[in-house]
Amino acid sequence: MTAKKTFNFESAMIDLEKIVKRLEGENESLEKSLELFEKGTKLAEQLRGKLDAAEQRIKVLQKDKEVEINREDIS
Amino acid sequence: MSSSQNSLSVSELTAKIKNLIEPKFSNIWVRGEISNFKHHGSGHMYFTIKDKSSELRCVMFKGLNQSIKFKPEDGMDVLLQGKITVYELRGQYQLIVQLMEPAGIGTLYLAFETLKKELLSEGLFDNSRKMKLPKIPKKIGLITSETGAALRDMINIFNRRSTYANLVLYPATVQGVSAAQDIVNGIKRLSSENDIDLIILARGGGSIEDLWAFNEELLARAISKCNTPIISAIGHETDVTISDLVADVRAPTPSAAAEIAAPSISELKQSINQQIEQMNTYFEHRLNKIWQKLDFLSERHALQKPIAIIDRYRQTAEKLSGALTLSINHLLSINLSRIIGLEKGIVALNPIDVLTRGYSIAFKKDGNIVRREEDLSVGESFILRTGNGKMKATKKESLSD
Repeated sequence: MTAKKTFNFESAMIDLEKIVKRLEGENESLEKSLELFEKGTKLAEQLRGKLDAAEQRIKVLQKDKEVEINREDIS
Repeated sequence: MSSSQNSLSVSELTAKIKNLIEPKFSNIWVRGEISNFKHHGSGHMYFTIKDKSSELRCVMFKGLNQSIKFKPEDGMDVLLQGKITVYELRGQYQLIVQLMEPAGIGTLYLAFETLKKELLSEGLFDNSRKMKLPKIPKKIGLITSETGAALRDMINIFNRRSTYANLVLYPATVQGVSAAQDIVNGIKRLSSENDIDLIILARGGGSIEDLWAFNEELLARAISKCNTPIISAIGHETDVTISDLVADVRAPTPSAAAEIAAPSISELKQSINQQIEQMNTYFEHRLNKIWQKLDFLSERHALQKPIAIIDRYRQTAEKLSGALTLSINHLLSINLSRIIGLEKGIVALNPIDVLTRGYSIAFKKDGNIVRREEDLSVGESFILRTGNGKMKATKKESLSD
């Protein structure tokens, strides 16, 4: 139900590994290999870019929105 | 003086004894070993405590025995506080227990052991129940004190190593009566957020009392029910809490939890580079195969003319090999498309390849190729080469087209 498909680091990483495995299987034609290589290089660039651009965000949840049980237990 | 005149009724005597004993033993502590323990359906507990030579009957009523932090069992060494009463109906005295504590070892320790045993038998610590941690979490939920050192330590580690992971803090009370419930609420809250793929439960070091919330049953059950993987990092390395045992992963300290939770950026980059390296090696290998083909072709006398073409390919291959060994950045798609052209050209040059498409070549005995009909006279034998073998043949007669 996610509105937009965002870049998923872990699955991109897995995709890259799969590409390399396919290449190494050596069952691919050279054309297909090239296609895979280009895809792999692009993925690697994206991954590196994500890592370099990463800026950690820290969100602190507000207790006020917490369930009532908590309040009762404290008082 | 008749002895019957001075005699007492049983009731009178019993009442005297009762009056004598009860005020004297209205608040006593006694230590002994439990035997014949029965937790009656009514909720009351009936048992005996004994030592080497004596026994004492005991009762602990429902309203009081609910406060016991462990499960009394036969053989357990306990300290009891209460009063002695005389049960007139039977002429027996007994201890009405108000407080039961384990003797020798601390109450908390025993409560810990009791719960541990119970949860262990339920299989809550089984490895098969434990969830795998995500390799690269995008969002990590933290349940810890907003002001504690544990939070500071974890944020330091995340800031230094894994800035790609976002953090969500549930500021929890980690000590005191309400702590366990608060932490449970935190687990429920964080696990209800779909994009949080890992939760860390953390608290700095402290005494067993300080860490007690993490040994409470309701927290243990909330951890085991949670659908998001949980790392538990409570106290120092030597402190093991029930939470640590139930959690999917136990970390010795909060800092270690942060390291376990998310790989460092340099680790990830290394692994990306390794993939690129492997792709590079692959193409190098493929290029080497082309080299071998070129060498093979140039040695074949059947192809005199294409030697020049082969040399051209050889030069291209040389350039590409140079580029490959320089760096991965040189391995651009332009180079690769040249490898493709190269490989295709070589395939086209290979005469065997042509033959497999259904053609044959006729060789004279001296090895020369038969190019014209008159190269062979009638009756002359020759060799016919096909894609997968050779055969001997003889010219029977000339045919006009």
